[in-house]
Amino acid sequence: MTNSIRRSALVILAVTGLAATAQAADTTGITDTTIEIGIPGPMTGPNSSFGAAVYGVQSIYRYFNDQGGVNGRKFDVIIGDTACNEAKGVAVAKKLISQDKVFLINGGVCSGVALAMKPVIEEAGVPWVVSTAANQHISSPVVPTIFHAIQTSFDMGVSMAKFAISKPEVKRIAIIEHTNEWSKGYRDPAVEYLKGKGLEPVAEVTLERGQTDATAQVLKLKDVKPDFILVILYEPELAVFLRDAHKYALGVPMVGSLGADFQSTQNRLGGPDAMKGFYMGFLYKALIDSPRMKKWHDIVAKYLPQGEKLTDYSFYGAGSAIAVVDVLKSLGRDVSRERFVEAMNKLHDFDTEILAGTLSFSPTNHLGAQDLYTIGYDDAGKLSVYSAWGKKAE
Amino acid sequence: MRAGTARSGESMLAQLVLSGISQGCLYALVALAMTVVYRATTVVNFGHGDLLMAGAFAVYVLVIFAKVPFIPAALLAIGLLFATGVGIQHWLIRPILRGPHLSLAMMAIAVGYFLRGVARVFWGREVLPFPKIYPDKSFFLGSVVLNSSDLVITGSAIALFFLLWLLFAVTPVGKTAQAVFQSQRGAALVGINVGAFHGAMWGLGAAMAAVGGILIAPVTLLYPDMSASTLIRGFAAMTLGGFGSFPGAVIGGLLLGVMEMLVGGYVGSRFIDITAYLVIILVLLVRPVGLFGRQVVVRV
Repeated sequence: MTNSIRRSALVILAVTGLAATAQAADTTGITDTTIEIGIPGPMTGPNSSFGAAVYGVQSIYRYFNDQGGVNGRKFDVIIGDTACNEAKGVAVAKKLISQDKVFLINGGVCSGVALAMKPVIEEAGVPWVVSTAANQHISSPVVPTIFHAIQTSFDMGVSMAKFAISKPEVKRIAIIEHTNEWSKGYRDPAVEYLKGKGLEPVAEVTLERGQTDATAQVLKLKDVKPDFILVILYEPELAVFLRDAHKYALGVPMVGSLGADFQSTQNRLGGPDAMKGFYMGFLYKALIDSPRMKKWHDIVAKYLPQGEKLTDYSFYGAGSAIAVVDVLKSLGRDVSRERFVEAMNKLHDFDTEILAGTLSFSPTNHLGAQDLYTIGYDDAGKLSVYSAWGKKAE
Repeated sequence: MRAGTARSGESMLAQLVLSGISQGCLYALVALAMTVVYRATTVVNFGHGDLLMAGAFAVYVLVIFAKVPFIPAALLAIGLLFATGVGIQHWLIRPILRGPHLSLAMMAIAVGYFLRGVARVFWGREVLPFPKIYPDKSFFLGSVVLNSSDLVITGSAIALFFLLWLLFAVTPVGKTAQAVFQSQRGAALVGINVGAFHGAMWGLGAAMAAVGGILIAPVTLLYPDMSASTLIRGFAAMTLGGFGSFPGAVIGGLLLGVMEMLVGGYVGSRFIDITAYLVIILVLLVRPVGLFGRQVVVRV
């Protein structure tokens, strides 16, 4: 009887031990020769211009594959089209996890979609290195397997407010925004920061997704005579707003969020006229075609799919892929999800050579990037990167 | 100070109304084209927005790839969309004409999504600038600003409304449409080729979609989903004006455009987007036949 109990206990111990060992070495998506990487992002729909970020991430993996891969394994990249739509995003996350069985996810564009995908990815325990979606609630409070390798909307909201009040005499700040979670992610920290400086927004105006006219919004803003406007809009509506602001000679300096690409917005507007006086959050060390960015500029340009145009957005995520590759390199051949997460938590002051500032994670902080600049035209009509109003970063 | 504020208030009102009229012309065009098809076939073409997109893309392809000058390209695109409309009616609508109305509406939606899908295959990630033949200039009426797009949209829409009025009020087409709308069997008995008439009206509706696409694309730019929000507003305009009423479609579109602007300017910009839906709900509750619609009396 006693022997039987002992035997049973041993069996239970062995089984639990095996299970624990299996759990401690989750190698889903890893073979002798490949590492499966999933990249969700909007490849179709009105926000498909953000898909450039997906191709940027893919380019980095293609480049490292041509360099021989990482420790004898090459990357197999699977792109999932979320169309910047929450329901499609959830379906893509499920597919990447259950059907494609990726080792990790390195993507996420459109914060609303990323927030919808978060519970699915978190529950599956798949490491997710967020490449582009900026809402800080994706990775804060800390989720053990989710890392934000891009500046968040919290940082950007604060940075927008800082930039606005760095202009002398600015007291009256207005906001134009969407009424969605993404927009709130920028608006709340910006308003909080302004409150800390004793300022309240003089007006908050909304421009909803899909609207093709911003006359009412522009006239309302004109009416309150702001000194500066914080523009928290996605690219299609940003173009509509800037077009109408130009049409009605709004004449107020503006700073925009990370919901659009500067060059692509200008292309939509048919030229730089309506972009004058408009500045936008900028994530990189320097202009992408500057000598400082040449190395990665040429790499991303070389590995983009044929016909894909290189824009600022092509680099929005590339830094996160460089960090992933570096961490995987550090693991040697013994790659598992647990070891990857452990190594990500130890990544400290990692210079991606693309993102402004460096990436640092710890078990208690998964918001890895914080530094931001602003881009816009100077008085001579030259596109420049600024660290504050009138102060060039380069 | 007060006089200045009052002047600024008047100027804002005038600006909102004028911009609303320009925007409303686009809604009216969509509503009018849907009304043409509805009057002839009693089908609400929920795929109309995608025909509008297809018309704009047809011009783009002809101008950019085939190097056809803009005006001939626009005329060709209108002709192509007319043929597409006739084809849709002949091959897709006619076979299920005797089925329930829901099937016809679903077919229209399916055709729309198919067209959008095709566009996505080629331009899924592109937002393309539409070729423009007029310069982007602003004009001032006192303190009110109008730009060339406003004038082109409003002018073209008015010209089209006049042409349609001529077609339906002066030529026998109007009476034929009325006869077919009242009773298809009756119309056939008096010698009207109902099938051909249906085809022509689907063609006309699609050709008008092309005109709408050509007018709206410089404003929204060109991408496969460009017409999604315009369609619902066109439908709201049609509901407000009264199903089947041509003047109703025009007035409904203009009213909706102006209402959206006034709501945005004086109530709150977050309500602009729901104005069209509110209009649909209120009209259906308060006056289901709309402003100019008539109650259909069925004699038994």
